[in-house]
Amino acid sequence: MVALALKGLGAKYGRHTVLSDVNTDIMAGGGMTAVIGPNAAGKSTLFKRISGLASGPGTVLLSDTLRGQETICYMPQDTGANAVLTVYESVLLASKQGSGWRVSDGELNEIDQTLKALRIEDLAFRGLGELSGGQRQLVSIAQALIRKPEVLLMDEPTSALDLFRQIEVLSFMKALAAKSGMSVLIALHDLNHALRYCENTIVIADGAMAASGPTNDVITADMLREVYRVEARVEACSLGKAIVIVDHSIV
Amino acid sequence: MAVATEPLETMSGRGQYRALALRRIAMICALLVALCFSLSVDMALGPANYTLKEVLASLFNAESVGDQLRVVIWDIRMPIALMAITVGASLSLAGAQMQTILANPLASPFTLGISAAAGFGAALGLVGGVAIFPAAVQYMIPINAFLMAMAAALFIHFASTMRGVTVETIVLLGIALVFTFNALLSLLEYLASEQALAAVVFWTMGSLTKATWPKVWITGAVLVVAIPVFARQAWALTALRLGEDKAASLGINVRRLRLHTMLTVSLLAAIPVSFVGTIGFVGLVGPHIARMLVGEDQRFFLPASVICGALLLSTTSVVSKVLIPGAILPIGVITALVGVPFFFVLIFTNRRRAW
Repeated sequence: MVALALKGLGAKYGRHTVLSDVNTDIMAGGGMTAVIGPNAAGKSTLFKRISGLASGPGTVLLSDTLRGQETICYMPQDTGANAVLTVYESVLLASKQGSGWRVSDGELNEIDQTLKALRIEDLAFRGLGELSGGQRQLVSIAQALIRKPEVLLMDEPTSALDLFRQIEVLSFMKALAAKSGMSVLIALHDLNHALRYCENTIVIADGAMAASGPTNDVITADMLREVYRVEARVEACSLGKAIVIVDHSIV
Repeated sequence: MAVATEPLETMSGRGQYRALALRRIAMICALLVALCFSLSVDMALGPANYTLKEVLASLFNAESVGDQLRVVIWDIRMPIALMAITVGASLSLAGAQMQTILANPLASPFTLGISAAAGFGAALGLVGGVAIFPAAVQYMIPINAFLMAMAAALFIHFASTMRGVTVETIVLLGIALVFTFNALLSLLEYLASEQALAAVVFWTMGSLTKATWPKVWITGAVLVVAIPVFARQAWALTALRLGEDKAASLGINVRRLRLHTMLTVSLLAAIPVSFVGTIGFVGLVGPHIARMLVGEDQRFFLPASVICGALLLSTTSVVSKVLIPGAILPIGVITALVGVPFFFVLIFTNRRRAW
């Protein structure tokens, strides 16, 4: 189980600073942390910086210093690239990077199990180009999980999924994180998903961290007004869980 | 019962994958057999036609055949037939990796201006007697063509290292190069004498007739060096087709991979063009045929592209001899005439995606 903390983390593209001063407390392994914020706020950049794909100041602290960047896996937003590959091949590809041509039965069994866990085994031999947006998201998740990361950074993994699949995927990820001890950072636009599935939340706005901490403390009417420019209420639903109800945008 | 069905279910994907891989290996073997057959037929055909049996006898038991047959097969026909194979393989492989790293189905040595640059280089020698590398005047034409092709390839290569240059920009740059070199070529043709003009036109049509053993060895050697370079990067190159971000997230240094591939591809494209002239179609369509047959896993796509390109040009060589017996038509012209109908049949009958 690897705990994660971010200290003074920033990112630069050339001379342009695109993200600065992201600090968090220790995020224990086995839980989910939501990364929320408006479009183009810097959520993807934060993920790229944590995974080493972008450079900048600050440090990513892993509780186990013997482990390096390879324990961190970034799952980017799906760009719709349509290689002439089957789903099965695309997942195999993710697991085989840096290794030889030979594919063992054990490696194939793991792919079978991963696809089955995500309930997409029936898509295994369909071409990537034949999939719907939602199906592609699930394949991306399979490509990330097959690498057995200890820190998984998921960039809007539910954006193209229907409601049933969103709930299914988030529940699955939460259970998987708890079972495997993996830390999951997940960029979300649906704040009710953050409230329901994520223990902690980081708010990114205008290339800087606006708030960070336990989700119920961070998602407040004030934060929604300042960061999202909406008048909203955070109330308890009939089951006693916090939900966000948006009244109107602030013009 | 539940215990019994579990392993069967988990095996099904694995089994299907193994079957798919086997089908692809079988396809590559079938292409290889077809290539061997085409090579033999190519060597059997010519002003004097021989039987396949005679050709095979002179290949595998040279002492058993007459001197004339041995000389014709080994010294005249084999360099040409092998040149068709090495050139087709090199151009197809170059096109395959250009399409992979630029994520563009139109990328090929022809569409990125490398062939046009070579054509201009050759024309400089043929029309103006200009040797870019004066130390070897007797090899002026191929050396001019090679240097110009490399210059174009390196221009594309260094342009692609500049900040903010996307793969779309590189393709646009390539197309701009095609227009530039074609304009310069037209200018040279306008100024050329009648004899020089005929030479330039013939060169730009592409021809295998000037093949010699040294040319075959050089083209083959580049291929032999390039194939393992790409083979080592098979998983990374395949991942590049999932998109730049996805490839980077899998730990691939996309920029470095793209640069190394571009450099190797430049050599692969420039050498054959400098020896045989402009053969445009193979580099574009060879990889597409391979992709339709075996998909884009480079462990299968790489050999399939090489063999498809070789087969396409070898078959073309046969057809160019058969069409008008006694006359050998320019291979660059016939390649498209042979390849296009075959390509159309594949596109319209194949249920799988071409790109």
